[in-house]
Amino acid sequence: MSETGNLLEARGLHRSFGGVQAVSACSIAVAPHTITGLIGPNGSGKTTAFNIITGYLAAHSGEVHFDGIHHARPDPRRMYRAGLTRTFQQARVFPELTVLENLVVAAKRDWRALFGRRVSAADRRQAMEMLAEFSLSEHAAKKAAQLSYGQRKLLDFAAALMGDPKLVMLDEPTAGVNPVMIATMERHIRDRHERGMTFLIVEHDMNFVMRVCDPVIVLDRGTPVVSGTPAQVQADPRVLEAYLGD
Amino acid sequence: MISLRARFAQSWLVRVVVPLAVLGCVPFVLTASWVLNLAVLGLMYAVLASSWNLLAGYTGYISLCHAAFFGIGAYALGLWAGPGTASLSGYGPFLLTIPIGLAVGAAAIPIGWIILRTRHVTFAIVTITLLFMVQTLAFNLTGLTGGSAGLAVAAPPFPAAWFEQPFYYAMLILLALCVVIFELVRRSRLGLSLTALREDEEKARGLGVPTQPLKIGAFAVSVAITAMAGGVWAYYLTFVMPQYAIDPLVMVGTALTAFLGGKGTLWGPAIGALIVVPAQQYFAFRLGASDLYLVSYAAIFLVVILLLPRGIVPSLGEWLRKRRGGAARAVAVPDPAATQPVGVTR
Repeated sequence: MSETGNLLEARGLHRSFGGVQAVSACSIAVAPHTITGLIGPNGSGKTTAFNIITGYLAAHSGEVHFDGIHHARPDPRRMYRAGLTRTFQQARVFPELTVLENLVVAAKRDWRALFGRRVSAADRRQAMEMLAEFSLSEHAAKKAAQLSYGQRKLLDFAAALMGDPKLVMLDEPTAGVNPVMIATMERHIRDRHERGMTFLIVEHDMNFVMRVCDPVIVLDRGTPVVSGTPAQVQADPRVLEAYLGD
Repeated sequence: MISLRARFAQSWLVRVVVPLAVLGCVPFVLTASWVLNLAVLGLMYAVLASSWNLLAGYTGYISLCHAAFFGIGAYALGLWAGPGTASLSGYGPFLLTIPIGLAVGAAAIPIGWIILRTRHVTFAIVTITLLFMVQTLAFNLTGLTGGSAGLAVAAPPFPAAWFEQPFYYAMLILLALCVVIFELVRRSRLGLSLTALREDEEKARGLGVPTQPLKIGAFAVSVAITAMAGGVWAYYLTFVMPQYAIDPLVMVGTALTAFLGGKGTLWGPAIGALIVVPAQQYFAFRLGASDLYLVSYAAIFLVVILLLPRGIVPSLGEWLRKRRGGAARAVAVPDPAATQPVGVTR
């Protein structure tokens, strides 16, 4: 943890694409054991900020501190090893691998394990426990391509949990899934949160955000404008302005 | 539970040992020199396509520079074993391909480190540029390669009665190396990680898969075996010419053969080669004078790609699975006691 006690601190992130500033002067802090929400209108830079923090995109300037370590150039693999994982907006799974293998591949193992069995007994046990938790056990031997979209979202989430991360970043966990699946997703997030996990969630479903997240950070044109409890954010005129424009 | 039959079908014996043993018997059955000559050529393409498949099949990276490494292997052997130096009763040059393979594999690591930072189309362009670069070097470094005059290699001292056999077995050993590596990888976490990399490299990186070392390793092993095949080929022809040693047509043939048989499968590339090479030679023989054979060659690919778009092995495999699945259901329906259809693993 950093000197400020935050698990994740992004300071002064800046990134532009051509002439468009996707994020600028973007500082985000995530305190441990919170479910922090990151909201903002379309194009406000939420996913860009996500991609910079997780190392999928290089920032033009700015710093990322995670778990007390300054990551000069975040890289997805290094961030994973440091305890930060993420999911993607479009539930990404490995379609040709089985559901079980999708989880096994995400388990934290050192390089020597690469020369061991494809799926060791310990891997199988860990993955089956996770599948049971997500009620996907019966699909273990199916190819991931055969799952429904909602099930893929769950599998993507489960895979992000396999490495026992400290912080999980969810990119629109409820987008495109039915209400029952949203409730399931919410239950899993709360359950993991109770067990000490920290979340940073980008989400468009405001009911979901106001119900689940605290605090909530609002981005507008690449810069955070408001940060506070759901009630504070809802009452703040700058939020309305961000969403509806001047 | 996995049925006994499925487990048998997945065993080393069925997948690797038996097919290799069958190929090992070929020179005892087909003894005519021209047939064996064709078989050596067929096996060479099987090795090229199978070693190419170690990279393309596992990582999805379509390399167009393998023919350059084939040529480098050929020149390395020619330079090491010049005319009149076929040691160990003629078997020495075969052994030289081992250090050549190791050296090329080691040299491929820094090359891979650079070129594997690109992907998809960019990777294809970078690799084909590399191919033409090496070919230009082979033409112009006349002090080393002899340029367009070619480079003479040690003449194999084997009698005409079984001249092709040592080359046949040398190529078969290289093919065995490819399939054993492919199968070992498939059964290890390495195979799982590589498949994940192929399906979604970005996501795999975010889940801790060491994508860059895996890609570089696959590239190095893949081109090392290709270079060894180049060495054997140079010794077989006893002469290395730049336009044939580093030939874009060989490269295209390698990639198409692998696609035809089934990229990413154990035997697909080899099966593709054993169909394409004899067909190509037959058409070249029948229509050779007019170059029309290239048209027939193209026609084979078009027909197969239209009928079996994923390649021969995956398409046939699926057809068989469907058939067997259908048959098993037909048996299982009147028998409610049967909980597991026979032969169906998933």
